[in-house]
Amino acid sequence: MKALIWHSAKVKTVHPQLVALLCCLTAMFTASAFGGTATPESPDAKQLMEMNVGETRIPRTSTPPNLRNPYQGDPKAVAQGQTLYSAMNCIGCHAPQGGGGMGPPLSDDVWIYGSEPAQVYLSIVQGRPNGMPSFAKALPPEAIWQLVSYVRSLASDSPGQPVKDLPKSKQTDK
Amino acid sequence: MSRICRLLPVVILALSATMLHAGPQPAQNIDGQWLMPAKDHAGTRYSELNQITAGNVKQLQVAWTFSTGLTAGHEAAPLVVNNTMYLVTPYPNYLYALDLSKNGELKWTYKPNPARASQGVACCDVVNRGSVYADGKIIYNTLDAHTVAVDAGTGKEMWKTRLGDINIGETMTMAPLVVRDKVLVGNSGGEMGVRGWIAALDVKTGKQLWRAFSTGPDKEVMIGTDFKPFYKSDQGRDLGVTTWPPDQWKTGGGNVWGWITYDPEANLIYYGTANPGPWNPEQRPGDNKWTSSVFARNPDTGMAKWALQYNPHDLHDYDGVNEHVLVDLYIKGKKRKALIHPERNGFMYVMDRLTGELLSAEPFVYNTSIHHIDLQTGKPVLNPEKEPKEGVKVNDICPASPGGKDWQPSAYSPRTRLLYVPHNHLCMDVTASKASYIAGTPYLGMQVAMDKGPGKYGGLFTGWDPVAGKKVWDIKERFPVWSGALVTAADIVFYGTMDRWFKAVDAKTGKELWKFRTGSGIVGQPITYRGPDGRQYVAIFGGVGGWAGAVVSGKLDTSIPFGALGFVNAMKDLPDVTGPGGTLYVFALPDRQP
Repeated sequence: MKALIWHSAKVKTVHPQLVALLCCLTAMFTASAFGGTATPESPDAKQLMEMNVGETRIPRTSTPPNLRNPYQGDPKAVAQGQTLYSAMNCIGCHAPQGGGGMGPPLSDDVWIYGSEPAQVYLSIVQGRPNGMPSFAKALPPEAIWQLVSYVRSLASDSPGQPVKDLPKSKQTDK
Repeated sequence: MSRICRLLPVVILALSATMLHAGPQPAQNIDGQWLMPAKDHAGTRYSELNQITAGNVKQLQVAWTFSTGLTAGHEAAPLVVNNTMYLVTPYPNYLYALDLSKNGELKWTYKPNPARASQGVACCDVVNRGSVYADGKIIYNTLDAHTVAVDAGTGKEMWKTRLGDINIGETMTMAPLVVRDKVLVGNSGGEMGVRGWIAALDVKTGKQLWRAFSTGPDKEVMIGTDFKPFYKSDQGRDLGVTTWPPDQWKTGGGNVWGWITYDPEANLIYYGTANPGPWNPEQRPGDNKWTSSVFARNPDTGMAKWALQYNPHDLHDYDGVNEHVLVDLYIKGKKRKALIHPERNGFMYVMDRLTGELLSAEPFVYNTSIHHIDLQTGKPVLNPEKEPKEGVKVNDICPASPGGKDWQPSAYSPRTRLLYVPHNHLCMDVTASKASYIAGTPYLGMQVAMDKGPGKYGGLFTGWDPVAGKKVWDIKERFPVWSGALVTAADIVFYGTMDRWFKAVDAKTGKELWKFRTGSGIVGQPITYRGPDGRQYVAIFGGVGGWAGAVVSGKLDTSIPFGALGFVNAMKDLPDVTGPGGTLYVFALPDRQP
């Protein structure tokens, strides 16, 4: 049902082709991706608010949340993410296999806004100031988590396969 | 139209011819200034200055330098006006004024504060190709699709006009051209499905006077009864609509991000339009007019006089935006008012600039995608084996998407009668796929991996005889020659290379006379000027980047061939020889030299 809600919330600037595409995606999610499994919920807003985008924080009593990707370890989600990576034109800016171009590479060990699943999730949902558009109104949480699965895999030794941990970003001078 | 109206253009023509007395031949302007990137309206980049000669060029040394602190590609030409040099940087598009009577002392800096997000919708690095001086103002475009005019004396903003919307992927990177009281500008965004246009603004106020789109109905393309294209396939009504699947012209590209030139006698401007969108040609059956075309227009009314589509139904991102250099040539013993256009598709077009008739079109680079240009139809005869198909990898398409030559502008010398062409030697493998239009994101549908051409070098610098239709000499370079060219009355040609050389070569033979090792690779446009001390200076931006150099300026991943729309694969070794970083270099002969 969630999928239907975001679909109907599309604004009028959206091109008919996109609506058609989103309809396809809706069908895709409901038909295949979620067959037999519970629909992942949007991450808890309070937890997301506590997610650090950078590396530093003012000390506090609780540690930042360790937000898991609900699709962690799921190869189907990585494959769905790859489809979305093309269909939503991520591929145009970040290049096939994440080599980069108009947008930064996703295949290297530099993560300007963090490589944790929730950090990547936030970058896609919110957009980023140097030109990454916000996909908040274009994709449901399920699809964004699938993209997170695929995008993080690009930086691993086995792109296209589920990845658990990535090394921390080595440099962030981009 | 009344008779008076019909006569008006003739009167204007006569007036402009006498007032400007600058025929399309290089202006005999030896005041030593540099007021527009191409030096003159004809686009020659030819300077009458001749102190620096083949005999003394070896003594050239650095007079002073200036750092911008920026790491994107520095493609702009400096301007020199009233003993002041003006520099436009890549994003954030600062304008620096440097006092030449005080060895380049900084007078002021103007900051237009373009939207940060514009960086993310610029296809090929966040470059700017320069400014123009007119009416006491320095005028240029910002990446976030504004045109600004700045008081040349004080650095105060005089006007700023918003022309496009970055939310649909529209940016501006080209250098404006000023014709009398009109500022001519165009947009970028062909990789984002942005509809192309050229606009004229009032030099006094920045107010838009007309805007001509490259696609759509004749009314919006500003095609009227005066439109007389030479070739049959360019004749007909509303071709900007009928040569597309329904409504696709609205997202069809044809952007105007290259060079504009002007013939005051004919009172016509000349400019090219860019590739159609999406790149995947299977999604847009038809000729896709008026993408990858040249237009001749009346700058006063905006109305088109003629057009020719270089690449109907473009298959390989062959934009038509390269310069149209306006010169009079003796062809088959007859004087022709010609234009020379080194087209991205790898052929050197020589045309009658009054009628649009094609006089010759000879290949200037290695080519597998086009057999030849048919002079009867004006169209390329394609190699069908190189046509991209969805899901099929097509190999060894030459030239690659950046073409036999990209934006990097040529120079023409009326002394040697040669065109000096900085260009590419690249091939590519492509796989097409279905692209979906989402406003503000890339609209491509093509996986590209380029490589250096046969012989494994990436670029050439060529001395070309446009009358004979053949090269006189060329110099092989490791990387695409992504800098502009400059030629002087002492028959010296200057250009820069991406592997950090600034070179002077003999205009007649191509023999290397001098070179200087710069801090970063060169993708800028060299200029020359006479300083307040009477000496001749040569200036060039170093600072690698642009589409070709994005692998360095954007720190792209060299292990993946598809980065920067496939350019990375041909430039994997660029990070081995240069880092990024913008510095202006100014050269002169030692002080005691006469």
